Amino acid sequence: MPNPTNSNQDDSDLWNAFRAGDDVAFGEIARQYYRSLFSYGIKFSKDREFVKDCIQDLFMELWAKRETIGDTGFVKFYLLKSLRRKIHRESQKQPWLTEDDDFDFESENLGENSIEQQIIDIETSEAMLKMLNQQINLLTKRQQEIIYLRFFENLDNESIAQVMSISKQAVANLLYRTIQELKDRL
Amino acid sequence: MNQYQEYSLEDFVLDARFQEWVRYRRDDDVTFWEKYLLENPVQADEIKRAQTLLRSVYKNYETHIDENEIDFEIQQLLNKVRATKINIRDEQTENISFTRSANIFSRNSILWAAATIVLMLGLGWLYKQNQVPETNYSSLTIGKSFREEKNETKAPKVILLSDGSEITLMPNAKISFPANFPVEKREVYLSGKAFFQVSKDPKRPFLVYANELVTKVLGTSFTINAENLALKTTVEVQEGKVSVFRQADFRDVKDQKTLQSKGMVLTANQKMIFESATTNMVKTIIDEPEVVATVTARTFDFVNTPASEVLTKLEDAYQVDIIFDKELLQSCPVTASLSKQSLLEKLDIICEVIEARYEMLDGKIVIYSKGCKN
Repeated sequence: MPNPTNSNQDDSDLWNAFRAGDDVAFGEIARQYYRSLFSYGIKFSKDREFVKDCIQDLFMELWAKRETIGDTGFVKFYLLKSLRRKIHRESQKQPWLTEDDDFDFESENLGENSIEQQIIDIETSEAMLKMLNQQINLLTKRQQEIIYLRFFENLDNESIAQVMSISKQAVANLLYRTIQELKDRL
Repeated sequence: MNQYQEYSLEDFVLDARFQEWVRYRRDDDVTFWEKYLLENPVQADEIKRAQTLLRSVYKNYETHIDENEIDFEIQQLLNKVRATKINIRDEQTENISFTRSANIFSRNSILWAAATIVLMLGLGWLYKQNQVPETNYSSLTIGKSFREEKNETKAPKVILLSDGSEITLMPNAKISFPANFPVEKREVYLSGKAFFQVSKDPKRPFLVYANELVTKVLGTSFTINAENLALKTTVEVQEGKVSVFRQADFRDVKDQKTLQSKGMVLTANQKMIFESATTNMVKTIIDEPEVVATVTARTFDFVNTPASEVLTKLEDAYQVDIIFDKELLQSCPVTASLSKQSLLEKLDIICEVIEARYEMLDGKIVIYSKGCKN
């Protein structure tokens, strides 16, 4: 997974081209963030097409604003935050999303174990992972979102605070507490 | 290296390098951490537990989205961006509002388009070359050291390939393929009609050349009928997804993204008919759609069930798109036992009951209803 916060020469070239209106560069940038955005968005709505639509809108807005966009280092959390807000807003507008109209962060893998488990080592027992997964799903939505942003998106506490609109201290406390809770289950 | 010596579980799980090891298992990280474990056995327990914790987080929040799905979305995005560049004033707002449209039809068309792209997964390229079928088959296979299998019997003949895929050749069909497939792709050449059950291997697409089409898949089952080359070639998907391209496009367009926009994606129970005369690819529903094998719910007995629910169940079971107004049909109760009928018969009955009608359009079923509130 690309780590867009390391803005090396290539990245900043890409950004300069994008800001100058180069659509190919824009496509590259969108591709860099797409998986992260989708993966995050799908935690709020199980409707894949809806999430994709939101991401399309988000990027179209980014394109419209390209000339005023600043440092690339902030882009990832800016995008995550904007997507979060957008999904929230759009899902309230759309009456057919009745099945999940709560704005909840949760894993889309609930109750499923059909997914190819290529990541899992034999040394860790399945049972333990399952148990732990149940435990994760029992965490509050906020706790889940924090560990997701921290472990999956590698955001620091400051950025997580921005994305979720809570204080940095709250993030730090919650993160610590969450790890403790999970640890006790090991 | 000793920066980790004082680490406890909490520190490990928050450490970027540790996370990467657990998540991606790249060689250099694996080497590093295994060595570290050996040299610091006191920490083994903390490390193992930290590993388990992270693993379960990764597993729990893992998201499945295909590269091709992403490619398609990016392509869509670029199309919209280009449209704004050309027609700066009008197009911009129009395009933005398009994706936001709450209209169920446009949502579905987006869905379909997306499914089409995903098709690269099970990309089936059927390309009908020239008007003479034999010519294409022989010109593609001549001079190559392929193994050839013919079915000269009157019954279907099953061929097992080295990758575990199974091909059922109908009478008079023949197929050529290398004795061992190269690492990057699996290519076979078909003349006649055959049913394919392709073993899953996302890294090695399976390509079928037949007439003027190329069908590309990653693992699924489908039937290609390339026997009447002069008239038409058909591809029917029993399971999974398949992409179909004209051979000329497949050959000329090297760029995957552009290629996708020229192909057609078929999902379970869909059929594509390619007519040589017009070179048109037409998508429709296969003649007798079947309940998709992986679907578990098989009873279709309904008692006062809202029609919207009934249709959703059929959508799931047959993996076809049925377009209808959910709100409207919620008020239409259906009581019927529909387990024995084919999909189309089921739809006939449902429409009869709720006074609606249906049409097939571009591989989808569209229900027209005025609702049931008096």
